[in-house]
Amino acid sequence: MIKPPETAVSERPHPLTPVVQAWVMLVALGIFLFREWIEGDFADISSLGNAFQVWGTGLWTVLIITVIQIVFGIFRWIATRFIADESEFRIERTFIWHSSDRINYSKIQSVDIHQPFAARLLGLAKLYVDVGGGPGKKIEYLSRQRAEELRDALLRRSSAELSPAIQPEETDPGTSAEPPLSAPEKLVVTARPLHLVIIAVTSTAFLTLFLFLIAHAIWAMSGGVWEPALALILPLGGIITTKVVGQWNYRLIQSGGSLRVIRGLTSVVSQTVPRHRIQGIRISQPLLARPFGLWRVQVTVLGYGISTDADEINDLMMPAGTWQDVSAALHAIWPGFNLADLPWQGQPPAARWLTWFTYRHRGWSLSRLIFASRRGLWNRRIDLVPYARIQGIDLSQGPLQRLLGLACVNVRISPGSVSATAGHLLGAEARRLAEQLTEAGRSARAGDLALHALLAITP
Amino acid sequence: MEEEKVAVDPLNDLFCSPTEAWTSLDPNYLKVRRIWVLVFWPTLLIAIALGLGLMWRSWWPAIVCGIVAIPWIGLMYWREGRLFRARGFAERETDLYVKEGLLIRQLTIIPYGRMQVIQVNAGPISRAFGVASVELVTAGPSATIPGLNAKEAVALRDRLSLRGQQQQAGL
Repeated sequence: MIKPPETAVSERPHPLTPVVQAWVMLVALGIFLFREWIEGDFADISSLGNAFQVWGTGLWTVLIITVIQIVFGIFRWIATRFIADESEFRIERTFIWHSSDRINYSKIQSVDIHQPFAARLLGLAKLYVDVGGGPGKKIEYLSRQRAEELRDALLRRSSAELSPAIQPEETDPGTSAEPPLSAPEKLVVTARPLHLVIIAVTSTAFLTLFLFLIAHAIWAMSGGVWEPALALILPLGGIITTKVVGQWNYRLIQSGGSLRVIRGLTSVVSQTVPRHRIQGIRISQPLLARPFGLWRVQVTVLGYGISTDADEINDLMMPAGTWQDVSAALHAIWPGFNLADLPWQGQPPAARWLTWFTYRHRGWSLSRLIFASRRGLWNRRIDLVPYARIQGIDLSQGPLQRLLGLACVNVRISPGSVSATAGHLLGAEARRLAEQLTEAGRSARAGDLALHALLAITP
Repeated sequence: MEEEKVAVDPLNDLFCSPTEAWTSLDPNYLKVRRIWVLVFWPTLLIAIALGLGLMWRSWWPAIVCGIVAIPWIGLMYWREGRLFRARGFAERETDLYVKEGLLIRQLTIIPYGRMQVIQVNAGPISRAFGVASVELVTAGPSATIPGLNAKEAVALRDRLSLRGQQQQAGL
């Protein structure tokens, strides 16, 4: 654990930081020199000298850039300090641009550990502190162990600052004031590679690109050119990278009151999701994944929606799995909730005109703690929003709906992938539902009791 | 707001006020909107006529735009009146109801306890007419009540933020 922070401890990142930051250039240089050496005379190291003569300015440029990057990196490393004192966490940078990031412990939403490939080779990791609004703060790089210690210390501080009503650690009433966050760990869900691949290739984005690629191939075979296909293959590769490589070896781990996600093939990401920050859950299934019975589970976490760095933030609680995995993930997030208990309501017959193919599937449900909706043709989805997380209600009616006497009720929550909408209800029913949801939200806000029941916390 | 009181068919009923009647916006806001219609559409039509006319070296775009201009701007001018009447809001003990839209009608219910920030905004034209808008920022999407009397807007903001503080709930 962190040193007793009575006196503010000021620390530097790990000394190897400049090396990791310049690793792309170093690797390029290394490969280049290695190839020269292989192709040239093995025994004669001096043949490397020839490379500089033969390749001239190009190689020199790479070398100079690498050196500059490392020198800059060293100065930046000297000039960067982070300090965890009693009231706040500070990151001080005093190199060319001076900056002092002050992070109030109570503002910390989550602390994630990321290990890009190069950092992983050297046993280093970067810390990513999510502070809700605005971009997160990064500390590059720490030793893996130090990063974990710091994460635990920051999370402990931040939960101590939270109002006791929503303190996640209260799940375990037996422990003392400061329970160790990383102590009891339980593996909830893993993702199998085959499942990841199926979910990736059945996604709408992948299928659309793939159809275009086939169309292009037909055109190219009948006398067209092949080169533009690259423009389609690259994004296809991108989808595989994010959905398969990025989620490789996915594990959802329950530790104390919070959930932890560890994933990635080349870069390993460890992300902590505080359960009380989860605003809603989406369970979804691409149409073509139906025969395989595979689903994914996404969450909306307060503050994640604003993040710009899509690679660093992941809203998946289960990237690909069977219905059993869905249940396990749901149980870990909201132990007080059972999906099978939801009383589903269908749509009125007039709604057939607007939902030709999804009429039977669509529906909504009001249960004790949660509003749920079910819809989608290409991507079937079930959205769950606790009453305690409702930010507002929208009741809307477009011209076609007005002709049929229908209306929609949409629940507003913080931005993210979840969006619960009861589509196409009879007008009067819709207005009643809107008022019911408003009332449910009101009583859920009063006392946070509904949330405690959901998270299975004893208040 | 008179038309809401009539509320004979159930479709109108859907958007009826939770209180006795919707509070409508300041009539000056309608003026601001109509001035905007009278500035925006002529500018756009002239730009189209000029652009296409110069490109094709012909008077036809200008003639077509000239013929279209009067009915179209008239329609937009008249529509602003209906849009204005479709807007309204109502304050209840715990929630604010905001209604808007003609083609797509929408009723938004925002609990006071969910309001993070309440802003009063006014642009130069609005200020000249003593009109301001009140924006309710929540952790979700925000809602706007445009076109209140500037004093009323400030009063509404103060009222809302007071209720917001009293009923504030954790996120």
